[in-house]
Amino acid sequence: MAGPAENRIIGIESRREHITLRSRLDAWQARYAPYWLLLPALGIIGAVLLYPLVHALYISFLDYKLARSARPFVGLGNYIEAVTSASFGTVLAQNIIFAVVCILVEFTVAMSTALLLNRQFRGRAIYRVFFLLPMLTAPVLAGFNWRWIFNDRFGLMNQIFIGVGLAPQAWLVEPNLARLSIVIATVWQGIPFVMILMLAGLQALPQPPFEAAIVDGATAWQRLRLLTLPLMRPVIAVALALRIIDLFRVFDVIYIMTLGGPGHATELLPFYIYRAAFSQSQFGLASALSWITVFITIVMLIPLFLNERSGAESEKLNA
Amino acid sequence: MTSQTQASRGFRFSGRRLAEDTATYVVLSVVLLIMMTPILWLILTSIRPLVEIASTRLILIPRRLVLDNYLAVFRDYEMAAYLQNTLIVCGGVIATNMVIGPPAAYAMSRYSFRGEKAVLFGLVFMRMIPLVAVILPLFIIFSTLRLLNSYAALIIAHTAFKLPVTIWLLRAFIADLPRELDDSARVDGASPLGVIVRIVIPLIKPGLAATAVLAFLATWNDLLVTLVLSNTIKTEMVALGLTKFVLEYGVAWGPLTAAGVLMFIPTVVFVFIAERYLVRGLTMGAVKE
Repeated sequence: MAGPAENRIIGIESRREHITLRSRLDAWQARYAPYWLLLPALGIIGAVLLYPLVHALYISFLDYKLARSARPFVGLGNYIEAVTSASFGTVLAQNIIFAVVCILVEFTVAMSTALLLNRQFRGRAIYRVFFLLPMLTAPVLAGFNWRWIFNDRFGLMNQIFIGVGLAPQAWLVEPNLARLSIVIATVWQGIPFVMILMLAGLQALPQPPFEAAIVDGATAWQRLRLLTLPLMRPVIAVALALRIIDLFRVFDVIYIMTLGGPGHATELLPFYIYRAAFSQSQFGLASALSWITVFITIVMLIPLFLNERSGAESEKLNA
Repeated sequence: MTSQTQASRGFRFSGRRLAEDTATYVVLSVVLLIMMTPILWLILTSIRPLVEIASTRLILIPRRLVLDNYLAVFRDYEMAAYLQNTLIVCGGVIATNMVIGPPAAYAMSRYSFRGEKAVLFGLVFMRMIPLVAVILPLFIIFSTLRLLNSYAALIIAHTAFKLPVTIWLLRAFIADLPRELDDSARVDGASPLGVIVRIVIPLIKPGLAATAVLAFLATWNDLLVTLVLSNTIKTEMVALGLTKFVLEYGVAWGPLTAAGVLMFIPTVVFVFIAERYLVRGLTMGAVKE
């Protein structure tokens, strides 16, 4: 490329040419810059996430078993097989109930804790740091932690039970106790996440309405119900969406704690898909199940999204 | 209002304030203790003698400190290899994210272009899909390419899984920068890449730190990718390593908890040195600041 000194020697004519060429290059760069800046990222996301997803869609229409080389087209066969099988209905219902229970527990505990942590007091930062630890623990490790605590012979839970004179329980063997154990292990990681979001939301709240409410003599409960919660709606909606997504992706905890057992008692969709693929090597069926799960997740998020949108619209109107 | 009533009111308020503070401490401490129990129990188990691990009676504090379990994970199990593999993959994933992420994030926050909405929606959508759905065809693809049990496969897969979040977060950090900064640099003739390297990256260092830590932890903690894409000691990562302590006749709880503590160390380190950035990264997008 021509340096400034060189330009001076070559003279005004070619310099102008240089400028127009350069500006043309600039225009080209400016026009296509976002594309080539995005290219590496989109390339790798496309190759590793998008293409496999589409490939899964294709496989879901085949009778695809790993051991066999013939992979005949079966249309919606896998989808029909998936939806009509008794175990799928059980697992889906189980996953929905699991998600609802976890969300109720997580949001109640997280909101209460966040309200307390939002107060000004000494040592607040320390509490907040420690609260982060469970959510950043590897789910595998969380699974093992709780599997150890719920161990029927040497686990902490039964040691405490025996200590206070209760009968020890077969936590991971009895279906309902196993379900409870899974919920506990999951909310243990979920509560801090929701709490962090709620706390950030609380700290971003505008102060004037609250000051006015105090002047008007509103009780703490009224302020919470009529001011805090409505103002927090966008944050709560985001937290809900993220938790719904993640509660339909829970895999590690199940894989470590119960392997879906006893029977199908703690089986959730991702583990069910994993089993269909890697234990029964029914890749076609597993791919169909994957896409059904994606579809279900999206359907669950639609009301949240629409509600949030109408909320934002009405807010705009009010403003 | 006389000064006397004011003083008594002030006193009543501070008395109430004290009671409220005490209640806050008590409630938060109880919640925190319950939340910390699994972690404390993990640490306590890892330093117990075997007789105490196999006890049906509750022994809170180990009578004797034993480090055998920590020796065992390196002597009898392949913990060193798991840690080494995981560190290599994590290093690779952070590097690729830090090279590929900023330009993409810059494009997303500073340009409006055709297909922008589609890209944005795609990034959110990628956060929604169950990884099981992707890992299955990915297994087929990597086995066709003979890339199973290679660092490359693990790094590529993890990079793609982390990139949507990285771009999403960095985009928000870049959006916070005053536009005049990079506009004036561009007017002075700097190329977009030059602007990113010389102006944007130095200014979003906290954002890069937050995303790097999040990408590290997500990779460090992941089970599914290594479970499906590696089945030899050459590339098995630490999360999969933990499952090797589940033996035929039962779980080796002593070594497993020791390995668990080792796996937990980076989490603790990052939480304590980068708490502010981590929280910022985790809440960004959900809360408008």
